[in-house]
Amino acid sequence: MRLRDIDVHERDVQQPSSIDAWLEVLDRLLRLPGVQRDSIREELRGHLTERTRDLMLRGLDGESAMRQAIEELGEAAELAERFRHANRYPKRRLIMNTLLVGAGTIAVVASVAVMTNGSQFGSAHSSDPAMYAAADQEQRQADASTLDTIDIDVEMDMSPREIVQAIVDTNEIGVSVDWRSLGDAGLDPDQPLGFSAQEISVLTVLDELNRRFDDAWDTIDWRLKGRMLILDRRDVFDRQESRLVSFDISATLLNMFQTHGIDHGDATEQVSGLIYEMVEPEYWDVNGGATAHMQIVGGKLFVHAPMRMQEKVKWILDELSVQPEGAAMDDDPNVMPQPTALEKDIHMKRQQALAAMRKISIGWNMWAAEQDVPLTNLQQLVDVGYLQPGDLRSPLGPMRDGSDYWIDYSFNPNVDTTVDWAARIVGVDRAMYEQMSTFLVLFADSHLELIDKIRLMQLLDQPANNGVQPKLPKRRVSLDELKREIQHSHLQQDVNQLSIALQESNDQRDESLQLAQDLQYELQVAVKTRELVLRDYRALQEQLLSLQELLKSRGIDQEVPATETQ
Amino acid sequence: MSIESDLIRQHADLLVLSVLADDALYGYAISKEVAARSEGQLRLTPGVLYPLLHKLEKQKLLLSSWDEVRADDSETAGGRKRKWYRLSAKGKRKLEQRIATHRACQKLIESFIPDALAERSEPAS
Repeated sequence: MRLRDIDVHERDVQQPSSIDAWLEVLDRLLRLPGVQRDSIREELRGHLTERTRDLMLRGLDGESAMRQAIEELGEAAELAERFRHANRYPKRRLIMNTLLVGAGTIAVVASVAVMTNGSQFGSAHSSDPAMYAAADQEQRQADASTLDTIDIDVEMDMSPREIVQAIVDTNEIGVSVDWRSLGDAGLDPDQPLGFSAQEISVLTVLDELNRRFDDAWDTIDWRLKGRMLILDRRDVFDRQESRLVSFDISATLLNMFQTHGIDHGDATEQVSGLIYEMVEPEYWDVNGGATAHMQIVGGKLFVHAPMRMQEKVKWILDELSVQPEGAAMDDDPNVMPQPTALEKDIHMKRQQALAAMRKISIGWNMWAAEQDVPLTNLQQLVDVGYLQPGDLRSPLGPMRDGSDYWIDYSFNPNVDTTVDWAARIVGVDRAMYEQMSTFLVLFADSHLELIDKIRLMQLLDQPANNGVQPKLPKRRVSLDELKREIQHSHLQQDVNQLSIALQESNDQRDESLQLAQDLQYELQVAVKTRELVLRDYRALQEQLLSLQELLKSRGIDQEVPATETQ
Repeated sequence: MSIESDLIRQHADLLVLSVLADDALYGYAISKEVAARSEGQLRLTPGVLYPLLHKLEKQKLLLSSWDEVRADDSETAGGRKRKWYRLSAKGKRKLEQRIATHRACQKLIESFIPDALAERSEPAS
C-alpha cells in the first residue's frame, strides 16, 4: 500500500456537532433517494473525521481543523447540486465519448437518432405508449418472419464471427456487427458455439446465440433495417429507441390524496418508487442503469425509456388512478367519481403553495448554515441569491397588505434549543389561509403541513410554540358563510333546473347540456369539499348567467328563477 | 508549475480510474494518492471527488463496499464506516479507452505545436 500507515487514533477526533450540523444541511439539500443520502452522508462524515485528524496532526487546534475540513468541501448547496448532477446519466457526454473512442459508425448514427427521437416526442405524442409498442411489436414480427425464411448450415466448430459470415454468404441480407459492443456482453466472436444444424433459419441461430450468451444485463439483440441485419446489445438498442413520453398524473395524485390522504410530495415519491421497483428496475438511472429516466414535474410524469417500459409504466399509472371499489358509483352522494377541473385546480394551487414554502425553507436553512447573522426578512434570501424575487410571493397571493408569508424570525436554527422542532411553527402561508380553509405551516424541522384551524390551535398551545403568534389575516368569507351563500343563492337549484330544462326541451345540443351538467357537478364538489375559493364561486355564477343567456337566445322558454347575486 | 483547475476537472475521471487500477481505496485515500503521485501538483478537492465517485459508481465503472473503522482502543463499540472503491470490469475497459483517447488527443495536439515553440517551453536541464 502506497499510503502511509495511519498512526493517529481516531478517538482523538471527537464527533463534532458542527460536522453533524453541516451534514444535516447537506442532507436536506440533496433531494436524492434515502439510501443514497445515507451513503453520501456516511462517506462524507468519514472524510471530515479523517481530514480533521490530519489537520490536527499538522498543528491546528480541533475547532480550526474541523472548520477547515468543512470549508474544503465547499458550500453545501453547491455540493448537493454536484451530487444531484452526478446522479443524472450524462447522455450527451456518453455520446461524445463514444464518438471519440471510435466505437463504430453504427453506434454514432444511432446515438444521434436517440437525440432526434427525444426532441420529436413532446407532450403532443404523449397519449398512448401502447400504440407505439404495438407498432414496434408488429414490425418486429414481420422482421422475424423474414429472418425465419433465410437458412444457413452451422458446423460444430463455427464461431459467431463465422456464423455471421455464413449469413452474409447467403446473399439474402447484409450483417452489421459491433463486436466490441458484443464483447461487453460477454460474447467472444471467435469461440465456437458448439452446436451444428443443417438448413437452420437465421432467426433460430440468433435465438441460440442469445441463449448461450445471455446474462441479466447485456442481452444480445438484433434489428432488421431494410436488408441489413444489425447485431448489438439490447441496452444499446434501448438507448437508440427510447422515447420521451409525458403522462398526466394529476388525477392519480389527487386520487391518492382523496382516498388515502397522501400529499403531493409523498404521492410522487411513492409513484416513482413503485415504477423504479416494478418496471425493469436495472434499467433506471437511479438504480444504476443507463437506459431509462423519469421525472415528475407538477402533475406531469416524464419518462424517457423504450416503449416496452413505457407501456408498463402506463399500466401502473392506470391501476393507481382506479378508484376503490364502490367509490365511483354515481348514486353515492358522498364520493366524487372523477376529479373535476375545479378539484384539480384546488389541488394544483395547494401543491404550488407547498413547493413555494419548501423553497423558502431551503433558503432559510442555507442562510443559517452559511451566514453569520440571523435572518430578519425574506428579502435577504433574495439578496444572497438563495431565492428569486418571485419566491417572496405566495402562489395564492398577493395579500392586500403585501405580506403573503408570516415568518417567525425570532427562531434561529443555529441557536434555538427547543427540543420539539417537529412541533415548532416558524412560518405560515397567509395567502392560503385567506383563500382556502387550510393553513400551510412550516415547522422548524423543515417539514410542511396542511392543517385546519383546530389543529393549529392545538399546536400553538404546545410548549414548543410558547409565545408564537402567527399573524393571520381574516378570511374574506368563512367556510360556513360560503356554504350558506351557495345554498341560499339558489345557484345550485338554478343549475339543476336548467339541466332538466335542457333535457326536456328539444334542444339536445351537447355543448349546452354538458355545460349545465358540469356546473351542476362542480357545485356539488364545492359544497362537499368545502374548499371552493370565493373567486371560483363568482366565476361559476358568471358561467350560469352566460348559460341562461344562451338558452334565451335559443328560445327555450323555461321558468328559471333569477340567480340571487350577493 | 500550477495546473489549472478546469484541466484537472476535465481529467478527474481518468485520474480516479488510474489510481484505482491497482488498489481498492476509499475517498480520502484517493485524494491523498493523487496528490502523492503528482508530488502535490494535482489536488482533487473533496467537492469534486465525492460527486465524481458517486457518478462513476452509478455508471458501474466502480464497485464499492463498506467496512467498519474501529478506534484502536475500542474492541466492542461500533466504529464509523468507510466506503472502499475498486474498478469493475467495465471500469477497466473504460480506463483503457480513456488512456487511448487521451494519448491520441495528446498526439494530435502536439502535432499542432511548432517545434521551435515546443523546444522553448521545455524545462532547462
